Amino acid sequence: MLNAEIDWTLYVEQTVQLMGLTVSDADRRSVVHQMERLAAIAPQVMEFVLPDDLEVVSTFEP
Amino acid sequence: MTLDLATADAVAIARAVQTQQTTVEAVVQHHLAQIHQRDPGLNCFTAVLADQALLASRQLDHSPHPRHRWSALSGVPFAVKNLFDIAGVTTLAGAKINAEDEPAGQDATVITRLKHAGGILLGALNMDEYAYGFVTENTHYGSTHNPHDPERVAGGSSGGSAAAVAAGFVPISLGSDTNGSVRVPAALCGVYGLKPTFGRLSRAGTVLFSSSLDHIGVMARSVRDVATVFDFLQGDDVFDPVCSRHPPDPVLPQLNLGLQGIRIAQAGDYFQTGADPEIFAAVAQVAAALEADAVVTLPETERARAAAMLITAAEGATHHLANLRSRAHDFDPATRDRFLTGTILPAAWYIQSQRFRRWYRNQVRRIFRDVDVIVAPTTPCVAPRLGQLEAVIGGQTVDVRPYLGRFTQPLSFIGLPVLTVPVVRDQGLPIGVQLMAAPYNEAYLLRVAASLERQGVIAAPVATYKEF
Repeated sequence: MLNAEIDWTLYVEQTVQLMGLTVSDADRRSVVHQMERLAAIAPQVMEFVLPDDLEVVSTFEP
Repeated sequence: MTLDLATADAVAIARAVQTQQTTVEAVVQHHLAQIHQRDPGLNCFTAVLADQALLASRQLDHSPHPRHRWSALSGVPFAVKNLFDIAGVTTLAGAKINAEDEPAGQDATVITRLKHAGGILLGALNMDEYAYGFVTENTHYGSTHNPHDPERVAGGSSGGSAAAVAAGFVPISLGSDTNGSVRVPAALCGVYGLKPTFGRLSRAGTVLFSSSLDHIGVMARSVRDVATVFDFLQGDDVFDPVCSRHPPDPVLPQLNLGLQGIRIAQAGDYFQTGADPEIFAAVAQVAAALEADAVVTLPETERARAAAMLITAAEGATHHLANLRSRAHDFDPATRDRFLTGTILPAAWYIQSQRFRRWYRNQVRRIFRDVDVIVAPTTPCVAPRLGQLEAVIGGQTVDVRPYLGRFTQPLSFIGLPVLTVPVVRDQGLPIGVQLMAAPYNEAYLLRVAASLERQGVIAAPVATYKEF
């Protein structure tokens, strides 16, 4: 199952550094909570099998 | 017919000034007085442009242009969510950070179009910070109260837009809708809320939230007002890269065509679970009036809502990354953690969500081969109390704020045109029902709504709550 073994506190600590963000302790707890919330719904999208040739709809016009 | 400015819709006001029953200045003075007296208790407006509006009204009253040629919006007051650029006013987008910006140099395209039609802009309206919310409880600019019960939220993120129309401060307003931000507050405040097809109305001159999903929308207290405003706003705009080149389709001339030839069904499955019984009763009331017995299923709708949330989180956060790095503490606590979280999502979540969006769109397109309009709930419950975080809905305890988007998010996700209509009830708080159609078929929605309005099944009277 997707996300089953993830330590989201560690994930948040590492990735906010990667993104150059400074997050207070209080905010970090909230961000972990939000991350867990999104991680709980992400498998609904990630585990759904889509055709290989299905591309993102784009409005980009060169 | 005698004009009652306290309840008149936009079309009635325009007719009254055309026929010289009243002046534009008197109309504007009336609405400014209402705002002055009652808005301190509701907190709909973040800026009231009294001087500018009165000047515009006097100029229109003294216009040499013959009144019988004035438009259906001439002299009509309107207001906009404060993420629309207004020339000379700083565009707040509900944020303290944006209060430091220079005033906008020009009006947003849709404001320009309403002004060209003779509309009089009265001001800017409160919202959730950067449109990331469903309640308009804004730490910087205060909460907007529901005119039907000031102890309850107005909904969001276009809460000021809905409440101002419901309270009678303006007959029409503009908002934006990414996941339901026009439809949710319109439903909770008991007014009409149109979210047209994605790209149908220009977003130029607005602060975007999640570009893949952002729409401009209209709120009003009558079907004909929605149609009139929509018709004036339609049309291509080179300044919005996603604005559709689909030709305008004026809906006002089609309003009285009735229901003949329109195939109507109810949304089943996902849309028949997860809401309070009174919500489903309202849907049944509308469906019965339309004799919409058939039920259609939009497949994988729960996944669609999940994908909409992931796209919103990622795009919204990227938009504000620089400020999140340098001054996260200046964001509203109600949005800050979600914006920060959006910066650290795996890219695959976002891309897969976008791919799923195309798949889901294709599935729903097929459904619209056999049906023209689908009826569904707008919100899962009536307006929650201010400050309320949880509710028991459908037998489950839910985080009520994000849950308000349960029925709206899957539809904006694929850009369908949707109109929420306020259902007439003997008692209780307002409830909205969504009418959705295939892309570019707004005319069907307005025709169905006009029929329901004529039957007395839906209506949007000015709120009469006495305590504000």
